[in-house]
Amino acid sequence: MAGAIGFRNRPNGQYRTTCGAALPVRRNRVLSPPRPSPPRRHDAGSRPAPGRRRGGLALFAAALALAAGCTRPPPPASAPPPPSPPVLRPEPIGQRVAITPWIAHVAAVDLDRDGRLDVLACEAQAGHVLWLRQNETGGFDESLLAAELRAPVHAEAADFDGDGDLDLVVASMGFVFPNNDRIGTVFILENDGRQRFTVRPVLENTERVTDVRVADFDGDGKLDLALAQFGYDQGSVSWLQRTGAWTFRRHALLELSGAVAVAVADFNADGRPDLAALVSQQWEELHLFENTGGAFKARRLWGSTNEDFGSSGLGVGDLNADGRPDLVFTNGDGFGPAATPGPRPWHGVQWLENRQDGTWHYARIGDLAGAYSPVAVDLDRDGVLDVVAVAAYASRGLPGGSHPALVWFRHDGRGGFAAHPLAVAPRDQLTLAVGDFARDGRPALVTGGFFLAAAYDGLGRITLWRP
Amino acid sequence: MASRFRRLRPAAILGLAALGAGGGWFATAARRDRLAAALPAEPAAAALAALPDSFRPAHDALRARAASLWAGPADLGALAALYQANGFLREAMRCYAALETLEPAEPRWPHLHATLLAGFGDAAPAISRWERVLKLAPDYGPARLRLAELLLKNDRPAIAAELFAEVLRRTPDHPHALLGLARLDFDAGRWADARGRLERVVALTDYALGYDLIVPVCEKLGDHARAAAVRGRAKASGAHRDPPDPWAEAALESCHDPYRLALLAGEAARAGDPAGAIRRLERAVELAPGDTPVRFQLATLLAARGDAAAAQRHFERCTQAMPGFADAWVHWADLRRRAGDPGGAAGLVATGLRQCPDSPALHLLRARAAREAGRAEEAVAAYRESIRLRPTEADAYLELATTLFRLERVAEGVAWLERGLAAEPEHPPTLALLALHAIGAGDEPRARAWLGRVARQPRVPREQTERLRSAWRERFGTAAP
Repeated sequence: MAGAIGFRNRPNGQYRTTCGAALPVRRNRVLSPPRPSPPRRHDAGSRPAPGRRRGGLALFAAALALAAGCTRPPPPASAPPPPSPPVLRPEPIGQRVAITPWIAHVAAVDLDRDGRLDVLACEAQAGHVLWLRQNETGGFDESLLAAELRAPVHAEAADFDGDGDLDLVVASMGFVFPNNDRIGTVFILENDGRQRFTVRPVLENTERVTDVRVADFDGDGKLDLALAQFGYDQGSVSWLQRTGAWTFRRHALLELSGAVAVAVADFNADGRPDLAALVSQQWEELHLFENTGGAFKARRLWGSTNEDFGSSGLGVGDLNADGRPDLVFTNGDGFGPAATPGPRPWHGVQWLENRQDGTWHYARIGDLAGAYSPVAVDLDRDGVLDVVAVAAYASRGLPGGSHPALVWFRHDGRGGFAAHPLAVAPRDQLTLAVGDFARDGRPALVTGGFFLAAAYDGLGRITLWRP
Repeated sequence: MASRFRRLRPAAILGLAALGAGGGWFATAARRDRLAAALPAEPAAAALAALPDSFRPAHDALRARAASLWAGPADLGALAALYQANGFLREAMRCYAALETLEPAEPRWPHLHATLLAGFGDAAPAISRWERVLKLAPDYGPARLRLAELLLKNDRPAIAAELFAEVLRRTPDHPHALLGLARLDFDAGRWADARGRLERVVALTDYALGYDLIVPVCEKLGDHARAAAVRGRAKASGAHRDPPDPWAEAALESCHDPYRLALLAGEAARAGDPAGAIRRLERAVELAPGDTPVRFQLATLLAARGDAAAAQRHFERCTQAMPGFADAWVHWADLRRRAGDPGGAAGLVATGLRQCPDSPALHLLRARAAREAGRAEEAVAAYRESIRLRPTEADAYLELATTLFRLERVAEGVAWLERGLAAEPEHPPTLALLALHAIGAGDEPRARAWLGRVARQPRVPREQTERLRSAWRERFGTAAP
């Protein structure tokens, strides 16, 4: 659901990820790469032959110590023992790994409306938007919906033309690595009803787009769009007002670089969809844009003075069950002045509690090196929303390592969270979605791997984690 | 009476001495107890084991000292610094919290604690600590600046502005304070004020600060030429750097973690201190000789500093330790080539390709070497292989195209240029070459379209644009569009 590609600023073209549930490289801080030949990152070609996957990929961690930090002390001795983490069986879905995976985004959508949940995926290196259709036996058949979309990093389904089928809106960065050119594009893929799509660019030559969400912001009955535009040195948060069948007028709300992700919900309970945006780069801020009926009132909700905070993903969920949506966000972008991306001790997951009086309260959920793509979901079905997040690049591209790649933060219902690592492989998972794929009421997870740095093991493309 | 006093005096003295010693003992023990109570639990064994061997004895010695009878706050402070420098931030914060109580007049403890809290994004307790620091050490500028920045981020612009202004009063032209005020102007839509401050900031820092805000501000004010000029300075600048903070930097000196040293080195290099960066990286390599990425970072920095011999030694060690680490082969070979040893470079590329057959960068080097040696067909094949392995960057497409042009396979070359532009949109040299080709081919509509894109790309150098316009005039006999 959340997270975003957008490699943050780091010296000399060191990459940083951001994908609106995805990836942009952050602020440059690095050493000069030798010119003209040397690549500015680990050479993807140095990886082992694709297609190799570890047997028994996920190392379930039911008995593992709760390595990642908890925000609350452990329950008193009289409290019942915490439940075991749910057992999730990882299953690679879709095609075998043919190129080094750059899966920037996955989403759980019943695209053909056959009652079975499918998976949408953005392959940023190939420029593809993919459909992994769930078949009658619960398997997944992959097909290409659109190509040459130039680093697509987020896809969202909605019926834009009111013809009863789901169209897709796609955020494209143009180029994943640090680049300040106006090369971003927003595409709408118009569905002909048989899942054949016509590609319609609706915003071009703009700052690199990392996230796009759909809502009727001006209340005219037509779907508008909210955008996070990472750019690099210049970027923005903006919304696109629908003006015609496939035309939009852009309104900038905040002109800062590094917008990683946007989230849409009625945060102030006035019946109108509002917009929240997570901004990385040197800013590291979270902004709220309250919808006043086609216009927006801006507020900064949170900010850190740690320019290496590494904001990486944003999600929405009513964690305190008070009827108002809260915000959950990750910081795990570890691209920076070292030769390889890696962990920071402050990486993790936190939430902003949206209180009834209109104030927002920061609280840490837990530590997670390389955290991305937080999703609020009741994973253990105890009636309380938990948080799940993935992690990438914590192992610095080195072989071995035991950094969690998928972590469940179990919520005790009172604002306390306990971290349960669910898997260490496949590693470098950047995007996460949740869905009831088996239609049995139990949430399953889907993750996507984005391997920018050298990957000597733990390669994985799209993985379904079945309960 | 006097004799009785004389008889009792030694006993009194002894008694007083005993009382004093006892009191001292109790005071010392009480202080020791307070310090011992302040000691955080030891970090998890797995986390300790992940650090080089040198960390454990240093850690154990500092913990023992902090728990000893004669321990003082400085000992706990040293332990806190060790934890902070090596990534055990929660342990460090626990120490700082205790030190704030033990030494309430010492400003470093709340400052360091606030820095860590803010680093986690926990603003409220950080703000209160920095407010205390300002009372204790009003002359310590970094604390005032950090407080101002954090208040700005917590939507308290008026107080933030006062603090930034105070920094400027004490240190005129302080670029971070100017930037802070510019950000407040930016937030409030005071574009002209913001522009004035930002122009000063970019002038003071040579665009290491302010490059980000000045573009939208110029655009708001209608100065699109200035905005384009700033945008044209870099493909991706990202030059922002934090203000110096000596107290925080001192706390990081006891770092044993090679990766954190590598990060600190990167920051030092970025701040214009390559010697400091090399020092940190050398320490990292000494601590963890098998950490290839860190050694690689040192090698690249040494190469950039012109110490080719040392750089080559380290690149070689990288390839020995991790033969599949293609970047090391690439940089090593490139260094040899630049040193005028194409044969040696070719040998390294060949060896590297045996170890890393799927390395796009090594295939690119092979292509370049073949092209330089006049083996154009071999170069074409190697370029194509490099592109197949890494289809996302335009340089290989461009070089392949120009190689094909030399072979007079022009249409094929143009097709590769267009594919390169799809891979890396608005790549300036590719745009310019496509424009030049269209002009040369007399294809006016296409030339017009390419020139339009060149004009919209601020990173195409002005001289190149002028040459294209001149070529247009010569070819079509009219002024360029």
